[in-house]
Amino acid sequence: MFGIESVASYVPEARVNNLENLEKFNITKEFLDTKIGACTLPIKAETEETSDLGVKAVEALIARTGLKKVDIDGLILCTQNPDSFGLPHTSAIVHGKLGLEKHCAAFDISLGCSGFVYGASVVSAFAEAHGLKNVVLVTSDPYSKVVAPSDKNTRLLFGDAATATLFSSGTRRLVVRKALFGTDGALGSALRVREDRQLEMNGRAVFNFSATTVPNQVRDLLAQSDMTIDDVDYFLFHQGSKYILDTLTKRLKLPQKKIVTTLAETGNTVSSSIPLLLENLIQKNVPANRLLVSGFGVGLSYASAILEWKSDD
Amino acid sequence: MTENDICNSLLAILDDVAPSVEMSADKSDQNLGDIGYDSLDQSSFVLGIEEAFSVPISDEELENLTTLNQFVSFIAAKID
Repeated sequence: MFGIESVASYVPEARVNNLENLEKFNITKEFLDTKIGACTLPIKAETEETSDLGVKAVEALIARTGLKKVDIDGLILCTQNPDSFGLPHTSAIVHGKLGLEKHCAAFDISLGCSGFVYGASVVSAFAEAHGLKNVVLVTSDPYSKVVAPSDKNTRLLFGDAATATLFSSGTRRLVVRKALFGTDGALGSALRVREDRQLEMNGRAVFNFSATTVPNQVRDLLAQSDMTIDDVDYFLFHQGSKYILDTLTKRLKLPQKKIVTTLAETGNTVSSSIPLLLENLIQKNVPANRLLVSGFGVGLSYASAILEWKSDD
Repeated sequence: MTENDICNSLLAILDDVAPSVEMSADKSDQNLGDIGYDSLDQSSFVLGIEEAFSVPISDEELENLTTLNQFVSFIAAKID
């Protein structure tokens, strides 16, 4: 069974300092600490493209795992801020920049914050259906391309980052045991890029969606998996903001020790937020057999899955 | 349900949403933002009201609701 073998990332070193915007947005440092969760945010260089971030994440994955480029037979990239206007697809551009083999499949997935959970399921099914050996799922969605510096609703939240996740049938991997998906397209305009290429978010609509729809899906997932909260070692929620994370924790009555976060380091990195959490857990060898991942946002799209470690030995 | 009952319910929701903010019935005519509830607290408060009273509140209606007493009157009229 196909599963996640390793995760690597590229987080730009340059930072946007939210503390410099306290007066401009009429907020306090306490608000940043307790509601937003990030005082600084990573931001890509002006000249860096979405594909460049993806390339650096894949190179980090190769360095970490020893994976040979010739052995990569699938490259799937999740973004809604592609290079130029999305034609050609960014995965093909990453494929070219990395010099991957021509037999390597490459295509994009257009999803926001639910993208990694959808992507994990798509990769697993695609690879198993067609006998692929090593498929890399890249998330690279730099919102600095569309966030207006003057927009309080979004400027404080989003950081740039990219991740690369290796899916294989290796001896030890994290497999998708059960997943649920959902969409509320009627509310899609709550989070959108306007015609002037600037991001617009209806904070109340997105908050209500996150606070009500997501806990219901998590409860359904646990029930359909014959599990309770006790059966899950860690809950890896999309890192929308600290307030959303705290709201989900409270509404689902989750023990704080089962919640992991990278908000302080990266802010909301869209589809990269869950793989960044996974990378942290894997690299630190945190003992965990079962994880629940849940991504939600643009669309409004939401997806939750139970991931379990499987070993062949 | 009397307006006093509604007021007590809303105070309980506010306490659940932001327990660190000092709120009491004698601040019922003050703007919630001035009392110390930030925009996210207020979003949670409104969602809590919608769930507790099964009363949807539109963005347009919300523009005229800034104090506890305004919320109390609004809900009283809706569930009347």
